[in-house]
Amino acid sequence: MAFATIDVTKGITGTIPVANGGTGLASGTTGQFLKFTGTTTLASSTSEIQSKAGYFTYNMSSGSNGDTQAITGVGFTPKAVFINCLVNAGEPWSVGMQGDGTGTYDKNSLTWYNTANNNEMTYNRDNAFGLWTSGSDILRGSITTFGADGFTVTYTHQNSPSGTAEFMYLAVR
Amino acid sequence: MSDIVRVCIKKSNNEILEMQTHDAELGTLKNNLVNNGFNADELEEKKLNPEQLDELLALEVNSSLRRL
Repeated sequence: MAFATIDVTKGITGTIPVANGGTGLASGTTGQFLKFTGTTTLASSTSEIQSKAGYFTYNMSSGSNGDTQAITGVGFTPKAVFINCLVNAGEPWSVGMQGDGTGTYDKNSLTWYNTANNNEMTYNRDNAFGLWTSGSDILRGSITTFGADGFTVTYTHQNSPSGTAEFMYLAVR
Repeated sequence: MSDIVRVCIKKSNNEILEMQTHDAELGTLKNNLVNNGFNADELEEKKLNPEQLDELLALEVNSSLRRL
């Protein structure tokens, strides 16, 4: 009997094979995942969770109250940013976190007073960080904008905080 | 640390005025400083690899940013 091709969509029972590992997708995006976009439809998708750790500096000595600083290179719009910061001289430091809002209940921080201020710790419910550099000189700040590639920090100078503040952040979405 | 950092320096003495990790488009740091009162003509923003950053940190004006 001569060989003949058979149309698998006709005249047979069972499940018809689907190409490309059963996905039926003609192409995908490198680094992405499969995700249901409907009850039965698979498509390429970015991960639901992304994170980026980074570093930036802010020169308090040359800065002034109300300064803003755009932090870019994050690669996505953060839903939350964890921030710790320090000043190499005098050793003040702070840890804090801010969600993707800019209101009172979106942020708070813990601040370690420097040695000139009796090595005490305090908290702040209105800022994502605070650096008490000496006497009554304090730098405070919070995130005022969340954007597609990062976030913008706005600084508040109380009197004259000095030195260069160094920040490590973890942005997540 | 990221393989590439961006710095904005004061051209007159190579002081690092701002530094950020990650390879984003140039211009952010300079704009930050201009918005905060610096003259654009006195600033230079550039991307550095770790070796180039070490050269800048070796300058006394940038000593506070050195790692021990």
